[in-house]
Amino acid sequence: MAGGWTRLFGIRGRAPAVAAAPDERLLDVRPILAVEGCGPPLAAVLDAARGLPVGGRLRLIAPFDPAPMRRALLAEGFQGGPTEPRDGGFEILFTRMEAASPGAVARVWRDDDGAHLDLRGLAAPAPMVEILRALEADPQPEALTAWLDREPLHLYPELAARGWTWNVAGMGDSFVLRLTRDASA
Amino acid sequence: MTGPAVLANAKGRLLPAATPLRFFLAATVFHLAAWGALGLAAGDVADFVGGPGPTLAALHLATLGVLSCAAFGAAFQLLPVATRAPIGSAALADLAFWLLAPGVALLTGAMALSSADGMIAGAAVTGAAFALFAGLTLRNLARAPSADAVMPFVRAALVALAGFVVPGLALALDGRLGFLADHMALARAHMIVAAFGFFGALVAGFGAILLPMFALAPNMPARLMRPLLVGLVAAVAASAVGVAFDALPLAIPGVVVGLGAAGLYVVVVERTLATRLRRKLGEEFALVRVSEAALLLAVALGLALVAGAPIPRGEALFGWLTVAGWLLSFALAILQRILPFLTSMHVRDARGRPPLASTLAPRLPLVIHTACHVVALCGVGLGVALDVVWLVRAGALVGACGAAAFLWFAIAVAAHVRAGARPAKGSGS
Repeated sequence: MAGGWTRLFGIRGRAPAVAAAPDERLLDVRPILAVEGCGPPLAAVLDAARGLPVGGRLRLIAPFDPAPMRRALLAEGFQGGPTEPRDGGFEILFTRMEAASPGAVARVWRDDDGAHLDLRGLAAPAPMVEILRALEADPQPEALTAWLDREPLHLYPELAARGWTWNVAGMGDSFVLRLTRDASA
Repeated sequence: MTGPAVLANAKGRLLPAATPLRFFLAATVFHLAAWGALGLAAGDVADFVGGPGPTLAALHLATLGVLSCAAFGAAFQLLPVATRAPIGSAALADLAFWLLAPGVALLTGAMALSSADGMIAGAAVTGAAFALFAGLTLRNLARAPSADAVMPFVRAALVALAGFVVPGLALALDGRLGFLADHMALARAHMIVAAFGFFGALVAGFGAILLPMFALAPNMPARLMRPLLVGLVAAVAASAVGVAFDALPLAIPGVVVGLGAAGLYVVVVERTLATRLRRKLGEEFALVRVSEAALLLAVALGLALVAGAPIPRGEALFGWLTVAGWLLSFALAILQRILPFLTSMHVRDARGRPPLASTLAPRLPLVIHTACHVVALCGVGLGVALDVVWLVRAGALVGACGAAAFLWFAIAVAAHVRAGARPAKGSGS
């Protein structure tokens, strides 16, 4: 699939990724989205991201804040920066982070009850930051479940300020934090 | 396990709000006293190279008063978060406060009055506070179920603690007994180990948790934190031994490594902040940036001094950049944010939910404090460099105004705890 995107851009005479620096890539997905029938450019994004070393950066330009791409890159071990306006679209700088220990990168999946984040094994304050990052990444999130190995007491004020309610429960050695939109907010 | 049961488990790791708050409030009081003492000592500051008097008192009000109180409070609040193990006894943590605060008051008062016996008594009480702090911290580290990036820095700080408390006691005793062959050389080594070893390791270690937490940024990369720790330890050991024994072949490489470690620290912090979620940073990060600049300037000046460069009043300027520019700016930055952060965990808004830390912090005193701090740093620094006493005194006066504003801020934040202390809930729904 990713190769298809590359070939497509080869035919159109444009490279999907431009090396701005040895460990930095620029990917503008707007031309991909402009091609009718091509679908979302997730594969092209992952293709560009997977070759980057730790510390390598992917500068992504899209016509909207690309929440699914954020989540996919989070799962690949990238941290995304703030979304900045650029050329009528949005630019986000993703940086590949080093895994502190095995399993120390957030794992993301979707279940019937919404998105799940497994943050066990991450050193403080990464779990708190990852939860907020996931909430900001999704434009219309209704629920999020986070799996943690300590209760995120410092997170609660940030959640309240963002209009979320929470319930925490123990499950073995883990804490399960269930976040839902605050209907009264 | 239900929410409240889980919460009881989590809360069991944390001390009551009053314990860290007491340390933080004491730090703000010592902060005001430090600027006041500096103003009184203005005439002696530029030529200060050690010895009892108001300048030594001002120095220790800043280091033992502000920095240690902030470090103790932050450690008792943060270590359970980092290590996932309890500090243990709130009563012992409180005892550490009741040894530290009066001990610092006694020691600095005796320094100001050049009372050898008072300094010995003050050093003994303060030393007991540090010994208790070390014991509580070691017990917490021993109980930690897993390793964390901050723990090696805390261990390094504890080694440095022994390395500056014991010489500190010896220096105090030497004022009465006169047994040291070179009092000044040991005093310089004591300062290097305390500032760069103990406080430096805590700045790097606790900063690795607090700065990402405040800016909502990813954790600092372990692959850079490890060489930072190695560089810090090597630099402090080599430069302290080199200065103590006048061994330039050891001191110069030590400070060169220290300059590299300082540069790496700044790179790590700035790279972390570049990927933050919180777009607008508060006044505290202006102070963090001031502290970074002062650190680099201090170590560069230190290198010039050990290399024998003839810099008038270089030692006083080095001490000023290190203690006030780097460490005090960083500690105040942390206090600006950690006070409302701590408070937010212990109060509830009208809907029974924890308020955002920024809503508990009155902004005006913080703006005044930050502006006054920067002006005072520059004023006193220039006064020392140019040997202009009125500039030192004016800088100290501006610093005292900033410290008063900061005390106003701290009391306003702490009042929220008194007014709204209710147990935190595990459910925000």
